[in-house]
Amino acid sequence: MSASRRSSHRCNPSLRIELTRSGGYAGLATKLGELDTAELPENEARDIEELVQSAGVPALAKASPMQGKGADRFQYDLTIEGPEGRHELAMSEDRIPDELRPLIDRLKGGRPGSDA
Amino acid sequence: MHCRRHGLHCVLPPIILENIARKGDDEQREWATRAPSRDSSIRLARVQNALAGVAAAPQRADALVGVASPRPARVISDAQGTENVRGPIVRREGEAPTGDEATDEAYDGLGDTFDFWLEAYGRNSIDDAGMPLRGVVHFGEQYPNAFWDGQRMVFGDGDGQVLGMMTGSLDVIGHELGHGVTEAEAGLEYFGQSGAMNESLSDVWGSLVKQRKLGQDAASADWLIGSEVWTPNIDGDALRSLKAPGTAYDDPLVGKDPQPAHMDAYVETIRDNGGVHINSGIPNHAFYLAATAIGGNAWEMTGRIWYEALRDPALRPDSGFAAFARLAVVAAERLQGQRSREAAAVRDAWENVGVPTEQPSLQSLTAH
Repeated sequence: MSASRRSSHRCNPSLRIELTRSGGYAGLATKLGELDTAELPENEARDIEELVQSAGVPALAKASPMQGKGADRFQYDLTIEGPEGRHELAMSEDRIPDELRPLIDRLKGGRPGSDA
Repeated sequence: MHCRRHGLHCVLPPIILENIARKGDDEQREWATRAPSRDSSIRLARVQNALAGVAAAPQRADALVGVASPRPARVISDAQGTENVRGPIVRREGEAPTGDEATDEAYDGLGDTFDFWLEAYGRNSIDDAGMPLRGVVHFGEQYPNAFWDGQRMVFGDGDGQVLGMMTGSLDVIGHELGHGVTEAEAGLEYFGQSGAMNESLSDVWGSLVKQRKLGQDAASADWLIGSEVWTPNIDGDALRSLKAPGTAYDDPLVGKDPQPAHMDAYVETIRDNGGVHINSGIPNHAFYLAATAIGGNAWEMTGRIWYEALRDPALRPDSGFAAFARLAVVAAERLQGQRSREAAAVRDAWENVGVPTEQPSLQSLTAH
């Protein structure tokens, strides 16, 4: 399954991350991006792992769903699956924690080697 | 899950305040009747009026009849492609059209919606006290959405690929302003079943604003929501259908309309605030069934019944479908009589979507 993994150089097994946008007035669920660090160049994979590590995902998962004000705002649904299990974070677009923004921007934009 | 929008009455539900007001000593009573004034919800005032033996039905706008007819106070601002809702004001009440399509559509749509509430139910704006109608246009970059942010109605230009300009459908504008009315009245929590009820009410008001504008009765209306917002790329009639939930669109790019029309198909999900735009199909269809059975203009009798249920102090922030259904039956019985065909139509409508309306147990009043 993971022929392209470069795990010989890193001790962390891969992370699989998916971002979906749901809700909004139209109520459409749209996949905005996904990645598997095993399929990324090593430096990018390490950047992503550091982003996930520093965001404190388990604590954020406990605070999920992070709901916004009013009605009909988009909701971002972020799934992170790795060696420590699977975390699902749900957050209103006006409640995205600052520590997750770089990861979400990376998934949305798919811009490789961002300045994160 | 609690206490996100509203202050004290979330911590202390009206029923508890009511008990303190009834049974507490003077100091407690004074506190209980004063405490909710910190909350913007006008329906708390109604709870207190009910306690004081004041009839709940008369409304401020009614009281103004013969004095001066309330007028809308519209303020449209332009986010200029950013997510700043406090951009420059581009059109105020009474000013001439600007030539910008989104600005003028928002201005006109908010005016039509204001007229709907005033003329159909005697309600003076969102808070029934003449609250200015703040609209924001050109929000975000190709932002395919419209929302209520707790103070204003915000419209994106659409992504151009799937969804077009959000101000293009009058029912979208009616829907967003309707969220303001629901927040001012019952404050239905925007999650799970109470959130789906909140969503459904906005679809109902959005539909009724459009039907009244077009002069359509229940039989001739299309009962579609957002029929103008898909781009030509998408194979769909609309975003939602109150007449036939689940049939509004079916397209390779965006999939199929996921709405159920019956409790048997209720969708449990964490997405979309717990499926608020999905399960709203159930109460949406109940409204359609009641409105077509009662007949005539849906905003007159059936809309009035739904509005009375929304304003009933017994509707709480965590109320679900069954609590609303019961209050709708109570409202129909109060307006038309216990054995009226209208009350029977409301009962049948909810039963037909799998929501019971018999005298509920305490547990079934709240949705979890």
